Amino acid sequence: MKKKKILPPLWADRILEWYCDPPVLEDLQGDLYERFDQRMSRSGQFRARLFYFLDVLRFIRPYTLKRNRHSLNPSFIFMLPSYLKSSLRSMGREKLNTAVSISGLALGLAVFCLISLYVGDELKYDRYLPNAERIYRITLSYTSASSSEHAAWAEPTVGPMLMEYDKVVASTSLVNEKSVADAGSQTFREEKFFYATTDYFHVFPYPLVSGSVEDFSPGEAVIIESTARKYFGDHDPINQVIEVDKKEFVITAVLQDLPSHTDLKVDAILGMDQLHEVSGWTFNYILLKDADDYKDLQPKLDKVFAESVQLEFDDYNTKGQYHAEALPDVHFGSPKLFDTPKSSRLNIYLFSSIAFLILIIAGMNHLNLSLASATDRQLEVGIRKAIGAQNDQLRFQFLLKSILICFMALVLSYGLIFYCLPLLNTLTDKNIIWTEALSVNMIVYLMGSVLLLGIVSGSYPAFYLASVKPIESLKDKVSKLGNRGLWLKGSVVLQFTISLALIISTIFISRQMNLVLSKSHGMTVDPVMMIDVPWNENITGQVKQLRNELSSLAFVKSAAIAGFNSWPTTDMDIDTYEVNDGEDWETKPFNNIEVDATYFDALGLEFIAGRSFTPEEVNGENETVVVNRAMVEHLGWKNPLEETVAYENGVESRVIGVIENFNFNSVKDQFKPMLIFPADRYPAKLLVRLEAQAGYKGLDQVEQQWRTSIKGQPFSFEFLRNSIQDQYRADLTMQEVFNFFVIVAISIACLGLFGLIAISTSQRMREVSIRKVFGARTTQLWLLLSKNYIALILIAFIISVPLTAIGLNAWLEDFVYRVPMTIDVFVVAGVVTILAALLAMSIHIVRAILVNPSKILNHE
Amino acid sequence: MKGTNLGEFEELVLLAVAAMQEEAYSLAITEEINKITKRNITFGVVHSALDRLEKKGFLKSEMGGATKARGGRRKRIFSISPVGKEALLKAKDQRDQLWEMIPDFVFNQS
Repeated sequence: MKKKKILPPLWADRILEWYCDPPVLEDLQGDLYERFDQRMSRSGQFRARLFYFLDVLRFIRPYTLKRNRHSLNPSFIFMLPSYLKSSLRSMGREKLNTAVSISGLALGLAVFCLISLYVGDELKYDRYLPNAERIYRITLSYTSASSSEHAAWAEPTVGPMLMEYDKVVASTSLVNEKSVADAGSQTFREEKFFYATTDYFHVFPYPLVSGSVEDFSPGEAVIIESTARKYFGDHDPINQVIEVDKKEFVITAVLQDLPSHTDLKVDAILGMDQLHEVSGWTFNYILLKDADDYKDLQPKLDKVFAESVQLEFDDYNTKGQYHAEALPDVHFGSPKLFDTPKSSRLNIYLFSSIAFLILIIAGMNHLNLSLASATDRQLEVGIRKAIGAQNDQLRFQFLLKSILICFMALVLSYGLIFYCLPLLNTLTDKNIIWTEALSVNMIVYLMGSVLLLGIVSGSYPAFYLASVKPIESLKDKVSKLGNRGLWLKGSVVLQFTISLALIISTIFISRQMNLVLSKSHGMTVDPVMMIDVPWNENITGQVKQLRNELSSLAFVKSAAIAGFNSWPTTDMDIDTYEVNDGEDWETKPFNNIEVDATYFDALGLEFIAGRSFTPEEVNGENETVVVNRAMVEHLGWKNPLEETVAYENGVESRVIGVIENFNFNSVKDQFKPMLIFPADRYPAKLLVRLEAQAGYKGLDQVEQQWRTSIKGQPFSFEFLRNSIQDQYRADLTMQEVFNFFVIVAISIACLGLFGLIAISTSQRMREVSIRKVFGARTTQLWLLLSKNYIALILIAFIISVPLTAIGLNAWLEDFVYRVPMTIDVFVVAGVVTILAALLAMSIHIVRAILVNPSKILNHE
Repeated sequence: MKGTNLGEFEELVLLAVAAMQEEAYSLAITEEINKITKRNITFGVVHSALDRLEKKGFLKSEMGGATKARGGRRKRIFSISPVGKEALLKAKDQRDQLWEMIPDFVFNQS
C-alpha cells in the first residue's frame, strides 16, 4: 500500500489519549487502529472513522481510565449523586438565599433572552429573500444653497436606464398611494397597495401560495394571503377583479404573508406599465448579477444621472447624485425623505449593553450570596476534607451547586419570557412568536450563557471553600463574611452604579420626550383629528361641504383642508422658487404646502404679521403666500409683507402673512423655511380641531357626519399627537423599554442587597443583642446595621452621576430642544435608590432588632 | 472454592489465549472466539475480560515487538499463568467427571 495512508480522526485519538490510562493506552490504541484499517477496506472511510469514534467512547470504562488524576478518579463520578444531594440540601437550608439567587438570575436571563430576541429580529430585517444581498435600492441626494436632502425616491426612469449595464439583471419601480379598494362586495381603505412595474417579482421572488407571477403584466394584481382573506373570505381569489381607485386589476397570484421583519410591507402589488400616471417619484430597486457588482455601480449611476436629470438640476443650481443602498442595509441606514421606517443601531447597541449589564448584576448577586453563605458550609468542607475529599472534588462540588442554581433560574426565566413576550411585541410593534425563544440557537445560546454564568460566579466561592483548612474549620475558627469585605463592597457599588445610571437615564429620557411631545412643536394641544381624504375628484366638493358643516358643530373649534403632504409629517414637497434675499433674485428650493383659510386656526398657528387667506384667495391661483419666521430670517427680509415669491411657471405670489415657527417635520431638526400657499382643490386630509372635552361622542359625531356626507368612502383618521409621536417611535420605544429595564435592574440589585443583609445581620445577631442589653436605642441599631450599605450606595451615586451625564449629553445632541440637566433628577434618583435599598434591608433589620436578646445570648 | 471457578466466557477466553500462544492479543482473540463459537462478541467485552483475568492472576501479559501496522503501536501478548492453567485444568476435570457419569444410552438413543 503505497497510497497515502488514511488515519483515524485525530480528535478522536486525542480523546482516547486524554482519558486512557497509559499502560492500557498503547495496545488498545493499536487494536483500534487495526480495527480501523479492517473497516476502511470493508465499509469505507466514513463508517471507519465513525466507528473509530464510537469505539473510543465505548472504552471509557473504569479499568481504562487514568488513575493518578482526581478529576477522572472513578470515585469522582461515583460521588456525583452525593454532591447533588448535598447541593440540594444546602439550597433547602438557605431557602431565602436560594430563592433570591434564582429569582434574580431568572429575571436577568429573561431580560437577556428578550433583548436577544428583539435584537435578533431587528438584525433579520429584509434578509429573508434568497437574493437579498443582490438587491439594491437607488436613492437620490441633492444639495442646493439652502438645503441638502437625501430622498429614498427617484425617477422611475433610473431602473430601465441602468438595465443597459450588463451586471444589472432586473429592475423595478414601485410606489404606494393611499387608495380605496373594492372587491368581492368589500370596500376598504388601503395603505400598503403598491403600484409596481412588471419586473417586480424578478427582483423580489416572494414565495407563492397559488397562481403564477411568471408573466406578471399590467392590469394584473398579486395579493398576499391575508388580503385575499379580507376581500374574498374562503373563495379562490384567482381571476377575481379588484378595483383600486377606479382602475380594475385581475388577481393572478396569491403570496404568502410577508414576515414581520421587512420594511417593505406589501399587501398587494398592482401591475403597471408606467408609473408616471401615479407618481413621478418612486422607490426603485435593481437586482445585480453578483453581490460584488455594486463596487462598479457608482460610475454607472453618475452616468445615468448626467444623462437624465442633470440638466434640470443645473437650472436650479442644485447638485445631485444617485446612490445604491443594499436592501439589508436599508433598515439601519440614515433616514431619508419618503423613507420606510428605520431602526437605529445606537438603540441596538444600547439594548445589548443593558442586557449584559443586567446579567452582570444578576451574576454578581448570585456570586455574593453563594460567597456569603459559603461560611456556613465551612464545617461541611472540613469534614469532607478530613475523610479524604480532594480539593478538585470540592471545587467541582461547589461549581455543581452554582450551575444547578443557574439552570433552575433558566427554567424559571422561560416562564417569564413567555409571559413577557406579548408585552414586548406590543411595545416594539413586532411579531415575535414564542417558538423563537425555544429555537435550537436560542437554547444553545442561553445554555451557554447559563453554564458560563454558573462557572464564573461559582468558581470564586468554590476556590475559596476548597482552600479552607480542615483543622481550623473543625475547631470552629470559621472566617466570617468580613474577610471578603472588599469584594462584596465592590460588587455592591458596581450593581448600584449600574442601577442608578439606568434610573437617571430613564427620568431624563421621559422628561425629554415629554418636552418634545407637549410644548415644543408650536401647535395646539387640543385634540386634532386628521381624517384621510381619498384621492377622488368627484368628492372634492363634498369634502369642502363637510368642512363647513363640521365647523358649525358645537364641539368643533375649527375644520380645515390640507393638500398633499401639507399636514405635520416627516415627508415634504420641495419645489424651487425665485426669491429676493435683499440683493439678488435667486432660485432656491423650499418646502411648500397647500392649505385653506382655516388651516392656521385648526392647528393653532400664530401670526406674527399679516393675516390668513381669504376664501377668494383659496380659490385663486396662488396670488398670495404665507411664510414662516424661518423664511424671513433665512432671506433677511426687513419688511416681509412687501416681498413676493415667484414659481418656475411665472406665477408671482405676494407675501400676506408671517407665522411663528412650528415643527412641521421633526422636532429633532432645525426650523426650515416654508411657503404656505392657498388651495383646497386637492384635499388629502381633513383636519378637525376638537374642544378638549369633546371625547368619544365628538369622534362619533364626526364619523356620522362623514358617512352621511361622503357616501361609499371609508372613514379613517389619526390624532395629530399620535402622528407626531410616530415620528419619535424609536425614541419612545426606547423610553418604554428603558422603564422596563430599570425596574428589572433595581429589583435585582435590591434582591441582592436583601440577601446580603440577611446574612450579615444573622452573623451580627449576638452583637445586636449585647448592644440591646446595654441599652442601645432602635434608631442606633438601624444605623449600625444599614450604614455600611448606605455608604456604598452613596459611593455608587458619586461614580454614576458623571458617567450618566456624559452618556445623556451624547443622546441629547440629536434634539433641538433639550431639557436642562438639573440637579433634582440626580437627587431624586439617589433618594429613590436609597429608599428602595432601605426597604429591602428593613425586614431583616427589624427582625434583628425585635428579637429577644435573651434568646440569642442563651445559646452561648 | 467458588472464587477460582471460571465463568463460561472467561473459560473461552483463557482457552483461546492458551491455544493462540504468540498470536494471543486482544483483537485476534476476539476474532478467534467469534469464529469458533459463531457468536458476535464485541471487542470491548473481550478486552475488559482480558483485563479482569489478568487482575485475577489467570493471565500474564507482555508487550510484543513494534510493527509498522497499527500506527506503530505494540501488541500486548497474553499468556496463561500457572494459576490460569490450574483453573482450566480444574474446569476440564470437573467436566470430564461429569461426562464419565453420563450413561452411554443417553447419547446413543437416536
